[in-house]
Amino acid sequence: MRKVIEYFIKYHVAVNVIVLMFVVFGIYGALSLNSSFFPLVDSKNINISVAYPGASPQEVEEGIVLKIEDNLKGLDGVERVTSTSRENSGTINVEIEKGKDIDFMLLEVKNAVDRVPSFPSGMEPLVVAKVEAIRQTISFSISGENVSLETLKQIGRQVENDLRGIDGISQIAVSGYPEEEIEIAVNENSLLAYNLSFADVSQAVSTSNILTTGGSIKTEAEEYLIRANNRAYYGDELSNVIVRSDPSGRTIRLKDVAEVRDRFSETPNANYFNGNLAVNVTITSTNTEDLIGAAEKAKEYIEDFNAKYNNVQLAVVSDLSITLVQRTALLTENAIVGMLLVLLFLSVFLNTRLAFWVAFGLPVAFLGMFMLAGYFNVTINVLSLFGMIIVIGILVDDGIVIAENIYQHYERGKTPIQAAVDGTMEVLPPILSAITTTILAFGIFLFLDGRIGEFFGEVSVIVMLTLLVSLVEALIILPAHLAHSKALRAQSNKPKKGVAKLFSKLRYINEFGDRIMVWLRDRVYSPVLRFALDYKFLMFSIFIAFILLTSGSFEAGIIRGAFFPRVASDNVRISLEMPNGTNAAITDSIISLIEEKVIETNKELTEKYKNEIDGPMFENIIKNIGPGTSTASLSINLLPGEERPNEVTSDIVGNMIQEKVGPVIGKESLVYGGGGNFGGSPVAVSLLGNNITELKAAKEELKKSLETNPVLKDITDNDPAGIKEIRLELNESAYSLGLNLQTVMAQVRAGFFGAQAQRFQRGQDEIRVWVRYDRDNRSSISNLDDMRITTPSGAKVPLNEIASYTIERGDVAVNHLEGRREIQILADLKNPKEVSATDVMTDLRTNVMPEILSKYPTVTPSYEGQNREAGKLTDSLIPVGLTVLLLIYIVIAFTFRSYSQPLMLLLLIPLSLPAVAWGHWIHDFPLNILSMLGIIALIGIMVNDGLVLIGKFNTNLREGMTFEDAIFDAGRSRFRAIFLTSITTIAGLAPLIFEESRQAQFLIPMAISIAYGIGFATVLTLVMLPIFLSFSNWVKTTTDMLQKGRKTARENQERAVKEMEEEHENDNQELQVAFKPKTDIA
Amino acid sequence: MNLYKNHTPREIVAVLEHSDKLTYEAKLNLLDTIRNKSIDVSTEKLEEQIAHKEVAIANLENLEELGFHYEENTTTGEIIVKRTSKAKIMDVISIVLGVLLSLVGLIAFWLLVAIFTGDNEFGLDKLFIYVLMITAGLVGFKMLSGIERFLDFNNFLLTKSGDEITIKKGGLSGAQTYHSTQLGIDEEEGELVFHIDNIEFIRANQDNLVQRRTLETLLLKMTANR
Repeated sequence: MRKVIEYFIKYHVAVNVIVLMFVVFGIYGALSLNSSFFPLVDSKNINISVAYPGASPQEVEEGIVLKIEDNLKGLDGVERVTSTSRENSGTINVEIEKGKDIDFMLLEVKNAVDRVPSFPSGMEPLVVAKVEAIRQTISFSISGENVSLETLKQIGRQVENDLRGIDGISQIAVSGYPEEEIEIAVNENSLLAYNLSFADVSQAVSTSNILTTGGSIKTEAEEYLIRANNRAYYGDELSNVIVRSDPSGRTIRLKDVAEVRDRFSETPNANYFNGNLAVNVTITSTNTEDLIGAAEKAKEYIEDFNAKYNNVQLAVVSDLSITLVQRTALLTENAIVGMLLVLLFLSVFLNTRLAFWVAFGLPVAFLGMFMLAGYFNVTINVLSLFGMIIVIGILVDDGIVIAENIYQHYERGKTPIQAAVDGTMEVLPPILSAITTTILAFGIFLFLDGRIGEFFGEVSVIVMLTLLVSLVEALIILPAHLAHSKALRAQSNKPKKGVAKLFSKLRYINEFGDRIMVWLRDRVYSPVLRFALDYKFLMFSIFIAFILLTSGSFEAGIIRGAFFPRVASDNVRISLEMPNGTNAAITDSIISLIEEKVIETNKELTEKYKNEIDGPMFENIIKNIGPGTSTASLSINLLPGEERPNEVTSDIVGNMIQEKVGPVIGKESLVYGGGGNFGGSPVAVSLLGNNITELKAAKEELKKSLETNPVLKDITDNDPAGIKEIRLELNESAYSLGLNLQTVMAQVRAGFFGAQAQRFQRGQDEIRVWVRYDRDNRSSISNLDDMRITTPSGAKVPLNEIASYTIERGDVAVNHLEGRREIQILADLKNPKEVSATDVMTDLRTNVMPEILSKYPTVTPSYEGQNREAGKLTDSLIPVGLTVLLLIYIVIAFTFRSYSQPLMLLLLIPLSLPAVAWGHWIHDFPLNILSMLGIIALIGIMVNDGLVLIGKFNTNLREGMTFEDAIFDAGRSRFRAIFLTSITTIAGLAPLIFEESRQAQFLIPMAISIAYGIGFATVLTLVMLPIFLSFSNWVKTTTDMLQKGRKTARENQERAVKEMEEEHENDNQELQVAFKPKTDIA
Repeated sequence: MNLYKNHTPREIVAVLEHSDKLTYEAKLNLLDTIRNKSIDVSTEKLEEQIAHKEVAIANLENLEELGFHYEENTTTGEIIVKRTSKAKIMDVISIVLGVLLSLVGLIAFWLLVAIFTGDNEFGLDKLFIYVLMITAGLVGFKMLSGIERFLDFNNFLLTKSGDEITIKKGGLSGAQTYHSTQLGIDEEEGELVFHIDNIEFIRANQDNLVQRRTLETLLLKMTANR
């Protein structure tokens, strides 16, 4: 290593070449990085989609889902399987364990699905696919005054095709309309008159509306292909299809018995943009696409489109690139201010030229990081920028220590080159150790499970890469620059010019800073350290009292705590769910009423903040009816984060609307979601069991308990009351006519649901041709009574003569979790500032659930949402954290070749926690998981200061100092380096901590943990570490005294001195060996 | 041991400026290095510090560190060396602490064995704690040497009257008398052993120059003819 450092110091051109390489490739790398809202994460979910038209949730569950779930049991690499069986369809979600290859697991899941021996005959082919990691980029609506849905859909398709042609945009979804279909609407009378059944009509269509070949005829001259092209793509073209014809020449065509029409399916799915019918286009980006670039191109297209057309306009509904650009700008601004503060502190407290070369390491390290970042799938996003902010202050730490040490060697009379080599080599072990421990601590993030782990892995990649490059910079580039810098030259008194003049002016500031530093060291620190070493127990007690006070304040709720942070959201989503089967008009009327209140709220807020914002507070309101007749939603897009006042949060807006709307009678659920719940719902309890009665009863009790809890709102469950079912039962007469339930239900289903005659592709849509009763013939229960059922003999009997029925509510969906029936109850916190999800869940577990579970013993709870995320995170954090802590111990022990010194250093960690907690209190933030991540990062950073102090302490011992003087002098002589490295770390983070913008709020707890922690750790390192080292020495000397019965000098118990004694002994032995032969001869 | 062999003259001068912080051995080393390297610097202060320490050694002030007290009757020339009260208390403490820690270690060892024999369920945290406890037990076991010291030195008395040395020590049947020439210092496994004939009574750290010189001074005083 010495030779490498010497080479670069002597031949500094080589260093400049390396710097040039970092600049060129770094800039190229930075420009090549894609942007994304959050770090790119690989999918961990495989979805199995089930389509079984006409089947009830139970049919889907029993016939398909249970069979697949059974085959997935015990599959290695599967974390959990959840499923939902609904009317006509079902989905099974397979969650893959962290670290497993998703493509391999997809094959495994497909194999497991293939092992199912049989599925119901009416089921459509299963779709097994991995859930692609896509990120919403921009969405816009297509709307116009009195423009029909058909037209809007056509335009939507056209827009989709246009957008697909643009490079960088590949994921486009057009929504806001039901599926298109061809309905062959027959009426009972026609069927009776022509003695036809649904099957006859359906068969007639499927057998005649075809496109097929019949082989070829090869004549001598040429070849002919025999083809029948009778494919009709639209309803009116099907009208002439012959349904029946007999030898008498009587022909019954489709138009004679039915009305054939092209239409949208009856399942409501309508979008309204600011009151007008709309179709929505959503563009998402894949991991290889740039979010900002894709949004820019889409906006250009929208502008062109709007310039061309007047009656139909495209309006941006939500544009995440704006928020991303704002957040990027905000964090970049913070990073720049942080960097300037670091430079300021360096130039005040360090020799100006040294400060310049130390600061030079900042851009070099960042450019080096950019050069490599692309290979680690890093993108420009909130988290990667945050990582850069964290590392700013840490980057200069090694530079400060090396530069200062080189300068000290120079002052001892060495040549600049010798000083650079010796100065670097002397601090090489602690520097390597400091970087390694910081990298180890940040490395923990890479192994964390859950969303936090996925997101914060990128922070650690940035920090690790930057630190590694900074290490190269500090060991190779910095010494070379310093060796040839004027910092290591005798000062001349000649008048200065240019840059030299600037540096000479800056030297005045430098001298001022030096005076402050000397004053702090001699007048403040030295007396405190002396006192601390004289009254160790008193000093230690003060720190312990501080811990107890903090712990009490945390328990008392003065310092707040929450597991997950709230993330700023610019969207409020109001979801209305009416009892199943509610008429779409009723649902529409209620959601429209809520929409009016939303408009009112918008006016009020706009008026209140008119001086602070341009235009209305809500950018737009999107109303959506469906899917189904009983659900509707409103999506309110607020002004982007930076354009609206900080106090107008999505939660507050949601609460305001809720107050205005008041109670809604007859609703199943009404949720005013403000977004921002990181990691899922704060309260989510899954009740599991196979006894449905007990499960439902337990659900009711739990919901009742949650509804009476004043801190909760938006209580919902995934088991709403189902649609009213008409349950048919055949009379005995039906059987005597040769009918059975299957044949009867098949005919009923054909009439009321429809018999699928055929399906074909029309453009981008798959069109299904349905034969069923005309709407008028299936709009009342009497229609069912009057329906004629065809018996095997061809006779037709009214249904009410062969069957009776009862009306009962059924299930909407059947959910499974790990193969067991699941009902999940969700709730949100009314005011997350007042109460934490952790407290609510603890109360729920200890006070509410035991009572419910004692009543319903077959039910078992599973705590989901944020609770599950928290569990995954802590489960992964504990083993990794302990391992890393052990590795950090090993690294330090290796550096100092001591068992006790690393332990003393690590003992400082718990003592620094009170400062972290009070830092949160000062800034009015709750301690959350990000604070915890901050503490982890803090561990890596704070040991660096300790390493510097212990390093000097050991050097002092080797120089022959007494124990007390060695420890006192180590503190004093390393005061400047420790103070400066800490203050630069804090300075780098300070702008972010004081950032008032909501955009950065969720990152601030981590910054607080590091900044306050490192600030207090400086005091701990300078005061407590000497006490700990002294205490450790006391333990060793006392133990030795108790064992030997005599006192040993304190320094003799220290490893540094023992090593010298051992070396001396070895030297003596070697000398003896060397002289032995001569003695023999003598 | 040469602490300053790799130091530049400028560095040595820097060390000299803070010579009051150095140990006695380091001070001697520094003075030696300055003289060997012929560095032109005033060593008066350093020499004064060394002389001050040597006076303390000559007065056997450091003998208490070894657990013994030295008294000299200047009129009769009689010398009495006895165990200090503090050392006796430390012996008792080491016995009590040694027994406690040894017990802890034994229990942990028994529990550790139980892990492998199946009576105690395995856990990494348990293993870690047991290893710590066993280590404490080993430390405690070493402390049990206090029993021997307590028995040997509780009534210890070493007197010199003329050339006659009288020693009273546990394990010896009453006070025994020797000639002062039988006193000596031996090196044994990194330790200096002050003994008379084959009865050892003071041990010191071989690498500690102050302790070495203290023992040498004591020997000198005990063997000196008045």
